[in-house]
Amino acid sequence: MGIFDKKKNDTTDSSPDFSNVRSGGSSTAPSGDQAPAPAAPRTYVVVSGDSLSKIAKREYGSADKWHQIYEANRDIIKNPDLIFPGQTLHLP
Amino acid sequence: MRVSSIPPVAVFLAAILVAACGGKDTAAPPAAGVSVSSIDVGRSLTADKAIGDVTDSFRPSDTIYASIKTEGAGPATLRANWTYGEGKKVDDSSQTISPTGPARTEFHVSKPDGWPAGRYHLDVTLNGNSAGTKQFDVK
Repeated sequence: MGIFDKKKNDTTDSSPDFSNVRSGGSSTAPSGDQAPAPAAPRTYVVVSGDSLSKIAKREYGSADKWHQIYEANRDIIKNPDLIFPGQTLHLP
Repeated sequence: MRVSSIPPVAVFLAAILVAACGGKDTAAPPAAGVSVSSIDVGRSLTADKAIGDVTDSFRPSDTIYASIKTEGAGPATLRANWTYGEGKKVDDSSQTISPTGPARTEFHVSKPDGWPAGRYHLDVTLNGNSAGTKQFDVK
């Protein structure tokens, strides 16, 4: 019944049906949909007068994020109030 | 009869200058980014995505391949719009590529129960702008 109604109302009955067309593609070029390569780790070399909060303010816009830098550099920062010129800090 | 006082050497040099400046059209310098340099259709594809046997006449059982050669680098979106007859949609697909130089991108279509006989069109766009058309027949 349903099929009959569809055919009865279909004014393009003789029109070819392309609903089952299969398609695909590929390219020798890299796909633009690929995720970009991860950014290289950022580092910062401490200069005289720096503090973790100053670096956080400069790098992240908020001095309150100093502890993120501290946590990422616990291996080289023993005291967050003491950083030294020449130290290379990882910026998370 | 008056004889021209222009030395033959000057005439020769002028001719060279005219030849260099006029006559055959030269291709516009490629715009920045990616551009389409050729579009081919055929029944088979080579390993480098070129058409193995270029044709504009297909059989109902054929898989139809289109190979689009591009020049340049940068992100680009190629779209292949296949239509039948007076514009009946067959298929419309696109690929986003990021070539670093000359590249080939292929699109293909097939129909398990066979292509209806008639004339087909392939319209290719690059970043939304027409990059070329091809027409072919299924017999």
